[in-house]
Amino acid sequence: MALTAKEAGLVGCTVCGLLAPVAKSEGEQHCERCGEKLHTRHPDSIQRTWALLIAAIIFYIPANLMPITLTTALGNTQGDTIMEGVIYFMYHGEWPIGLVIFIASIFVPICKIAAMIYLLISVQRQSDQQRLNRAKIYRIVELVGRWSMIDIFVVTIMVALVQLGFLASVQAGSGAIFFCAVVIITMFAAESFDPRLIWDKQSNDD
Amino acid sequence: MLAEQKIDPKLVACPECDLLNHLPDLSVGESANCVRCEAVLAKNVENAIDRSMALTWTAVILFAIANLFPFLSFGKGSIVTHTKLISGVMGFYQEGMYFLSAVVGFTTLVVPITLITGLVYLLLPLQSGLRMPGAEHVFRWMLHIRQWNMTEIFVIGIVVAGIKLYKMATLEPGISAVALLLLMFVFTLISASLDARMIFEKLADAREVKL
Repeated sequence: MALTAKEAGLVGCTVCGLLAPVAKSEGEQHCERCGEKLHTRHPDSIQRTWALLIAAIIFYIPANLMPITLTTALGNTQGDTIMEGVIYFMYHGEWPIGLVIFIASIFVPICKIAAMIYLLISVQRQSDQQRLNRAKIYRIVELVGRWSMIDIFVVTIMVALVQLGFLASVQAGSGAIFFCAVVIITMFAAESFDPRLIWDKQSNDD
Repeated sequence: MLAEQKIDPKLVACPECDLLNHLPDLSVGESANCVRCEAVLAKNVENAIDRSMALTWTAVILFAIANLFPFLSFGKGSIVTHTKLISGVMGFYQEGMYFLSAVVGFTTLVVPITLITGLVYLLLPLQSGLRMPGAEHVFRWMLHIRQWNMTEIFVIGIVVAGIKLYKMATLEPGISAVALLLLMFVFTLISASLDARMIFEKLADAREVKL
């Protein structure tokens, strides 16, 4: 019988789980139990997610080209990009730190953007392949994306902590602003994507 | 059409794939997953309310400690800087980095405080079968903002910053670092012991407090 709520003329609240019949009247429908806006599918999910992803990709460029920290030591100021930071630690034998920053700041954002593009395109092509795997990919993206904030918090702590006057001081560079924006925008992108679309328009023999 | 009939309260639409599932009666410790996409639909945690309330009081204490004391001290000779949670927010603000200041303030202070306060507002009355006005809206907003609570990521940030800096000058972790580390686990345990569906059902059954 495997019926979806949509097929049954129902809409499930994504917050509290309560089922309601789809309202026949126009306008917003709210969940009776928790007050959440009800939508059979997130409105304009595909377009919104694409728009946010493209914004994230654009911001990702200055995030990597501009310094995320400015270190002043003995009167000289030096800017370091994310990748320069990673290389510095690899080179100085602190490879676990280099690896953590590489994974959180370069590997995760790129994989996340690539995964979201794959999910969007496969939904737009109404693909019926790999549905369960795609659902799992979405779950991982939602779970892991926020961890890219590590580097921003490292910069936060460095800025607050390294204030030794003339000896050494650290400031945030403009790359940090763009990188932080990338993390936030991709989090919104993951939220605006409706995973229920992965399962829609299933072939009849399923 | 199903919509015309009375909806079976045991019927639930999977939030991730929209398939209608029949929720089985769950015994303690069990959880139910969607038969199609395997998303968790419901779970039955033993003494969920009392357990979450106890964890929330622990979080209140830990969060207070984490904010009152420095988590790292760093310096050479007479110049020593102590950092508290608020220090980074202040540091960015003074540099004119308002966006970073706001994001860090929101994810490490505003959201955790809101969540902890919300949990007390929700769970304390619920322990005696009561419900504060608007409790279901409070809980709904808590569910929406909880992914912006980045305490655990901040803790890893402290570790990374520590390893970056320990060679440069004297670096000492403070009591707040321990509190934050424990807070990271407490938040995880609270998430694990609260099932949204179960809380909303309990709220629906509870008697509203008239103010």
